Amino acid sequence: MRILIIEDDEHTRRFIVKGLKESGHLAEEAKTGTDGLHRARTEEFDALVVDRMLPKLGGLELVRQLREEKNPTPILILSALGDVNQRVEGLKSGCDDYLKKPFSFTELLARLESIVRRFDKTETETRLTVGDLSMDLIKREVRMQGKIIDIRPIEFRILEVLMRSSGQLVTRTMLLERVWNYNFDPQTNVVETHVSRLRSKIDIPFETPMIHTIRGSGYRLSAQTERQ
Amino acid sequence: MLARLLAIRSLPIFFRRYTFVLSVIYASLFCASILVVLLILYFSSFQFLRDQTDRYIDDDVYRIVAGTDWPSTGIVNIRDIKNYLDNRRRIHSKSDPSVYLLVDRNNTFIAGNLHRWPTEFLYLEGNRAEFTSQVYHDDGTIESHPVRAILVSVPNSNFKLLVGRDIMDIQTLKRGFLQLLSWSIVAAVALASGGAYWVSRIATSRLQQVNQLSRKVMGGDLTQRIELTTNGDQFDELADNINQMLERIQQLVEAVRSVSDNVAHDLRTPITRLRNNLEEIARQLTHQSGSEIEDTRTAIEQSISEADSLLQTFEAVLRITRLEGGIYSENFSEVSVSELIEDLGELYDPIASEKSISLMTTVCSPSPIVSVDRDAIAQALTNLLDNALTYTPQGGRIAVVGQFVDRQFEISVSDTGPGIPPEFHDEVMKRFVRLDDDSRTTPGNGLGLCLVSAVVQIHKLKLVLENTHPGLKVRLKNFKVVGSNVSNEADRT
Repeated sequence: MRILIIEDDEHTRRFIVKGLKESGHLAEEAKTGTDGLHRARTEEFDALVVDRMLPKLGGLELVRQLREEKNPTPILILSALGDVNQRVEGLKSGCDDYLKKPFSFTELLARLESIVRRFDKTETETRLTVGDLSMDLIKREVRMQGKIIDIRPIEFRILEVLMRSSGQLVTRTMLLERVWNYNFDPQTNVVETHVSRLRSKIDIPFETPMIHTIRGSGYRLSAQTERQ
Repeated sequence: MLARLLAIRSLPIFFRRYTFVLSVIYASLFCASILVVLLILYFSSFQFLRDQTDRYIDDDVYRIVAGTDWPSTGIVNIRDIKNYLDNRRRIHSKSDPSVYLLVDRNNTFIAGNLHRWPTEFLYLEGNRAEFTSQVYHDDGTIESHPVRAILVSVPNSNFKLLVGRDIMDIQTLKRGFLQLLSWSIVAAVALASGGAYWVSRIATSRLQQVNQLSRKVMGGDLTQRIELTTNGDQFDELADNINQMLERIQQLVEAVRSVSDNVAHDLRTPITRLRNNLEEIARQLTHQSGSEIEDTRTAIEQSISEADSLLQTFEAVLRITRLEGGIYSENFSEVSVSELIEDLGELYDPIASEKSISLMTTVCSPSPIVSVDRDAIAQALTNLLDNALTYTPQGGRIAVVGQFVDRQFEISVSDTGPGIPPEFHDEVMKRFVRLDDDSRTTPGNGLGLCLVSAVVQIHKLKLVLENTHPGLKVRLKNFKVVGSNVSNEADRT
């Protein structure tokens, strides 16, 4: 992926650029909002990472201008203002996701991959397939190796999020946001217990485990076996 | 005194208001002063009329006596008096109020227009007396009239002379005056009470404005102001002062808000750096192997999770501060209680069954729709559920119930854990307060209930903690219900 990072804080910018390069992506930098807007208008990027508080031109205003010009590039906003209100305001301005500082690089990458993937698959799918696992979104049915799995609605929703981002990291916070629409973190490990329940239905009875735990970050659904 | 206080306490609220009590005291003083003025007028007028009557009587005595030798010789000729009196009676007109009577030692009538010598007196002081008697008129009629008179013994004889005046008119006037006086008092009492009610209504309604505003301010709304009238009175002065005070508070709160935003921005950035550095080191280490490297990686992962929990605590404090500042109040939306509680039940169901705790959610049917900040209420309830799950022993029960109690909608979370001693109910709402001895080992930052109480405050709810022996029941009372879910399935469990 070719990503443009528009961030005034040098340390954060370098950290993102370095992380992206290490993960095999191309990263470009812009230090101010006006500079970033100019590059976003004139060059092709797979996604933009935009800081909300930027000198000269604020992050939200930048997103608004790009969207008014019908520029559809997926945008992720970074902000130290992480309240629900500000998140809602950010999403309303036209960005695709909103990440609160401080963030872990894995969280940022997971979200970037997710918004880019969503952007690529504009057509609505009725069936998701990952390896032997398939999900019928109309019949609300999950099959593993052709066998119907008895699954609760909430587990269906979790699995759907994981399958839509298959091969990519889905963090705990992303699951809370997309499955429950909660913008806060409950203290007890509620998400973990849900995933382990789901795992007991689609992993344990079969030979190849598909839900992989990424320690300290979240989960990844993939057909390949992974080193934990 | 106590009985009076009790009686006042049992009165409806309006009559217990300070303004009403003041107005009643004022009205009573007003009525009392009217009574005093009227009584003074009454007594001085009738004193004057009595004195005047006495002067007329004295003049009359003089006229009677002047027709005899009494003044010059001191010898009284009874016949002269009789003649004089008979003469007077002959030319006496009905409008003449004069009364006179001459009797001998046996009270036998000699002359005059009185029926007989009085024996019963309404008033007797010296030789002045008042009594009721039959008065003969020159036209031969007799009438019973009140009379004021002077009783004189004729010197050197056994005869007695009575000279007086018919005071019928004065008595009628007196009665009329008393009647007028009582009606005046009734009117004054009525006017004064009405006035007291009116005055206290006006004062109360303006005080009400101040009270309503104070309640809104306590709820976090600092934008409200009191409307000023054009009177420029003391209430306006008070309102103006309060408005200015609110203006100042609003400025300060806004300053605090922007400071907290800046603090958030400024403090989180270095923490981000710290965390990112650690993450970068961890990432570099993934490409290497060896037992020492593994130890370092574990240590770094621990540091990252320590940093995360530090950030989470910081986040929670900031969120509570913002909730207490009432910044979230614009985020309200209409939320179906059954959906809210069902989602939470679903979220916590696996972890509860993992701990062998039965988690039950019940919402009355049809489910009410409440106006709330969904995220804030959900977080408050998850905090309560987190607590319940932490402190309920294996095999225990947790219930989340949404129901009407005394026509007020409430959501309660109850468990079968150890409960909280009543003396600590206020204490646990404070920041960083934890009651358990093993607070170092059980997860949590002591902010859970503090956040609940902040959420309760912005929603103007009432938070009640009850020990249910065993267990704790936390009730969030007085939800603002805006409708109900008609298509709701009955009681989900």
